[in-house]
Amino acid sequence: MTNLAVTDLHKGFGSQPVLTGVDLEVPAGSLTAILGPSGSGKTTLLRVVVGFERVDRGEVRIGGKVVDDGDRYVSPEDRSIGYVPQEGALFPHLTVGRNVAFGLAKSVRRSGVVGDLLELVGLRGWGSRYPHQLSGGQQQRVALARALAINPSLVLLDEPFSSLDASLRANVRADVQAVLRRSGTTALLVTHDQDEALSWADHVAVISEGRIGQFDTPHALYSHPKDAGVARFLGEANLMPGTVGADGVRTELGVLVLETWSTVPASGRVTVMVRPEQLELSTEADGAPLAGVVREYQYFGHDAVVKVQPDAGPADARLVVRINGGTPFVPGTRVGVRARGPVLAWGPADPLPEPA
Amino acid sequence: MGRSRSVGALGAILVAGALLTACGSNSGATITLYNGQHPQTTEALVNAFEHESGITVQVRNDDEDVFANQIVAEGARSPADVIYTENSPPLEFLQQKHLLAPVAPSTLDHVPSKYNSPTGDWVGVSARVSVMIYNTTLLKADQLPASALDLADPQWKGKLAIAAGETDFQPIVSSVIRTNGEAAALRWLEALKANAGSHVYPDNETITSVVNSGQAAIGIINQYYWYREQVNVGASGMHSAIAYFAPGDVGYVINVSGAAVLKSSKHQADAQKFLAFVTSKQGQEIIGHGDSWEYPIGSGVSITPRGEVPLAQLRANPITVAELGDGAAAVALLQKVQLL
Amino acid sequence: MTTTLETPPSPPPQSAMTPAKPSGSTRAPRGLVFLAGAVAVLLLVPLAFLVLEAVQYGWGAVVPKLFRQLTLSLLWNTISLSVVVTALCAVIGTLAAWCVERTDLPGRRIWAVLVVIPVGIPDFAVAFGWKSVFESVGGFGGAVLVMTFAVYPLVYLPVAASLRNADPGQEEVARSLGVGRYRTFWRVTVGQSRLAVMGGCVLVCLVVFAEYGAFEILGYRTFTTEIFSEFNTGFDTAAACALSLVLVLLSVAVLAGEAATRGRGGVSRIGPMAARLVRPQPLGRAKVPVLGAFVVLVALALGVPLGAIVYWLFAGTSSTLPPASVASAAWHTAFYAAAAGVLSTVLALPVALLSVRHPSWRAMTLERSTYLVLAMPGLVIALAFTYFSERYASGFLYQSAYLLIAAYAIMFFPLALVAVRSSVARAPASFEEIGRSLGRGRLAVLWSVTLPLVAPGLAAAFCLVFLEAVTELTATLVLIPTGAQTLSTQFWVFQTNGSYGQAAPYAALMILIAAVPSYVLGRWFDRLPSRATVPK
Repeated sequence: MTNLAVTDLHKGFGSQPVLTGVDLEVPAGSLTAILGPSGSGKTTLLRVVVGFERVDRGEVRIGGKVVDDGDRYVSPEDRSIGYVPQEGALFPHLTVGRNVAFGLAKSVRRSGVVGDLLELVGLRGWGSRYPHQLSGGQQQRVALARALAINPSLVLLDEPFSSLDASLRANVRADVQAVLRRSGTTALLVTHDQDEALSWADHVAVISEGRIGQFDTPHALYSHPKDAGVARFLGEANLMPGTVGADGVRTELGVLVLETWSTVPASGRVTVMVRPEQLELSTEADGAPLAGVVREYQYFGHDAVVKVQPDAGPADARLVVRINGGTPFVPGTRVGVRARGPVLAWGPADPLPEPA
Repeated sequence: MGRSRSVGALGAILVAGALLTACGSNSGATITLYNGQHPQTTEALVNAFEHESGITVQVRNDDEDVFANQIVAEGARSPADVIYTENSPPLEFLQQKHLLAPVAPSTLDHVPSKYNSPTGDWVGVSARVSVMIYNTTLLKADQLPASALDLADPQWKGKLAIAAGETDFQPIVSSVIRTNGEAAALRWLEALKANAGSHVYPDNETITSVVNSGQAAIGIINQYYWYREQVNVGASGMHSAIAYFAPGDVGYVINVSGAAVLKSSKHQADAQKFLAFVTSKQGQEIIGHGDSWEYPIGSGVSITPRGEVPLAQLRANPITVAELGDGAAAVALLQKVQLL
Repeated sequence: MTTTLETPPSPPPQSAMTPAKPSGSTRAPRGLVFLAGAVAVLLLVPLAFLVLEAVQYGWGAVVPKLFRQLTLSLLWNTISLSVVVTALCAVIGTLAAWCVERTDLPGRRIWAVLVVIPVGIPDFAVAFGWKSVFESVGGFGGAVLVMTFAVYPLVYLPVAASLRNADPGQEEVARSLGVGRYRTFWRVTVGQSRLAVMGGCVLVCLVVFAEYGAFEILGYRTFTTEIFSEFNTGFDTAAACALSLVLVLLSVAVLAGEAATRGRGGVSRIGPMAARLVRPQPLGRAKVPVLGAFVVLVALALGVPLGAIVYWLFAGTSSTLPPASVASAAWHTAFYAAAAGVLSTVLALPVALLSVRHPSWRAMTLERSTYLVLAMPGLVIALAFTYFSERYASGFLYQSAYLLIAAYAIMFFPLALVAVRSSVARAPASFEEIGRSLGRGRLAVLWSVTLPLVAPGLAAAFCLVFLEAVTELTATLVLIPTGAQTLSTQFWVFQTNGSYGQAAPYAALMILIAAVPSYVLGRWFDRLPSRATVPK
């Protein structure tokens, strides 16, 4: 069963188109993330769904009922959508309890529902505090309780974790996910952070330039990106031209084995993606298909990223290599680069995307 | 709770507003007086009239010229029954707009006709006379000019103070125009303006205090301002005196303060009673003995305010109230020399 | 935007990482457009009167009145005075606000109240004070002196509020980049508050345009004194209206100029609006001179008028009129002014909501048109009400408390709008959106979310209108219910009689009544950061 269905949605501001034909179906009870870079239109999509903006063209259905098709329009207050904005936006003039109770009918407010909701988000007993007395994570959880109070058919979360400290973010994210699963709520999360999208959601919709580029499970999305743009956005990727031959694909890294599901012609030019973790470095250049110079070394403890300038090619070209943290590579060191495992490639129509 | 409290507050405001509006209306006979005269002059008259007639008088105070404009804007529905002004021009102006009702002939008879509206639309109530005020430290009496025209002489440069915007000043300009013609009046005003320099003030009160303090040596005012200043600062605070121009001089002008009933008034009879009262012997005595320091002008009333030269002894220029008119010619000339 | 009391009216960062929506994108609800439009029409009533009168008179007769040499010299008088007073107010207001808000000036709490009170002293009482203490005060210099000290709080208040709100981090960054304290002040602090300074300056400029009482006492001639003299000596309503139209055009020019220089410079801030404590900057060796400057400022702006009143209270013994009921005059004054404060604030709300929440050139034009009324002399507005009430409404409410209150509310509407608008701009729209997503309708959200959030702005609006209404005279004389007195009409009655001794208590009481909201205003601005900011 589908809870939210968006069909051919167009929305622009003035002469500037923002959404250009979005199609999206969110199954009931699932957690879906909308992943996209700044300016891709993901917040606008959310605002259209909740009813703060109206569609220019297309249709939005919630639970099968049309809420906006450019003609018919249901006000936000009649859509029963729980909305959790970026900053939580708790009403500063109301206590936590009254914030949560805001959307409840008067008759329900005293019935202990508020206490139960606070319990659900782990804040029982905090009802008489004011928002400014809470930490950022607590505020987000109250905002979620407030959104859940109206027993929504759908909860929308607009980058709700981005303002939290990194240390706090993962915990709050997990808490929110747990609450939503427990209550069986359908939820749509907007984010620009691919780790967040991949780890949080059942499905991820990648949005770019006003359209949904790909809608899939996190695993399928990461391993089978539809095109170079999606691939680039889901983590770092080295993209390079290649030529398909009988033995595989010929690239500057030598002849590489193609993934079986690569959609490429039997021969001709293609775009090849090599993930950084697929590359290996050696200090002796002998035998390696590509030689280069280390230009950058970033150490992360569990691993490290090395950026290598190939000898052949322009001065600003870089290959990104992810290695175990063990061996430091001083910039200037000469290295050899080797790829392992099968690689993905896309057909000739796909030009190399600009780095995000 | 918050809602009911604000609703309550709103209700309280509306009720209070209604109360404030209601306290304006009165069960008995009531007339509304637009008072452009000095409140102290009017207050005593109104109190006595209310006591005498049982009619309540609601008094509004403002400048006489604002009242004239206001009555025009109000048109046929003006709430005013009576207008009482310091000078005749606003009354003449309203008469020309046909907004005044004729004054009862018996009331007009209370006052010598030279002080009344030529068409009988308003009645004179009191009179004032234009005089020189001079600082007694800076000037001796024998140094004073004989005529207002002499104030154009360059010897008064920096010493003269005038209040060109004051309605009391226009009659003198009208008088100069009448006697010497417009061209001469224009030259005279230009010279006066040059002599006054920065001593151009908004009103006679300011001239009085400025001459009294010695910032200016000489000025033209109506006589009663000097007597009122004396009350304000006490005799010891007076460093000035008043002096009259030569008999018949263009600057020696008697101004009439008058009153009229509005044509739109719905209380014509009561309003006429007020006019009859203020021009009656009783009303004129109140003016003569009160704090207004103006001359009562009722026929057969010969009271002179304390210390002043009796009205009968004044040898003023013979210009009539009709010739003073609404002062339009004077205003045009004042505008021409940019004093207005 | 224009005259904000606090932050620039750029939409608050509702989603800091997404680009701001282009303006004009959201549809304004019809009810809101209708209400705001109705308010704008109401505010244009006086303008309609001016045009009607001038047209009735005929342009043939108006033109010679307008195009004479006096008009030029009045234009020069008015403009030169406005420019000088506005510039001085900008400097005094901005510096004072910076010292009070950002430095370790001793006694900041007290100064914050004392420097605001002068706005509550009637301008004619200030002029009367200077004049009666120093007889020679007058002319251009006198007008500059009196007006500057009477109206600089109109710059101080918005700038202080915006400094309170602006991110002190920018100043700290500038200092860390090696920019000196004084250059930081100019480049960062003044830059941050530019919109507030400009907004305050527009108010000052328009108020100077419309001032009458002070200039009459000082003997300085402007367009407005000339308008009055056309009314007074020439009984020439039409000519007065024609001159008033020139004043309106001048104001349009000022508003357009401000809009043009305002440009697109908003304050961008990424991330939450955190209320954080600002560490005051040490004044160091400048402390004593700065303290001295504050003493001088308060002595001149507050001390002189108060001193004159106290002097007359004891020195002037004149008594030719029985004292009217002081209590009744005080009650009427407070009641009319308070009701006008409430009404003005209520009227300002739809206009502020429309122009902040649904910006478009139409909304902006509508909002700006409401400022024109500030430059119209009170007498013109009063006569406009007289005219329309008597001619077109069969005298409905004429000379009733209701009409007087409505006139006050309209005359001082721009002050209320400035305060309400800035607080609406500071209350993020996301709160309202969330309220609606939680199932409450527009009106319910307005009541339960918007109003509580903008409450400080509503209070400031009320106070500003109250202050001005307490001291209003010329319109009061025309429109007050017959028989009622206010403190200012009583003051006028005695003052025109030269009974300064008797006028003094009324002036003193007026200042006392005005001081209450001045104080409240100062305290409200003190409390602002703890409310209505998005919590961190």
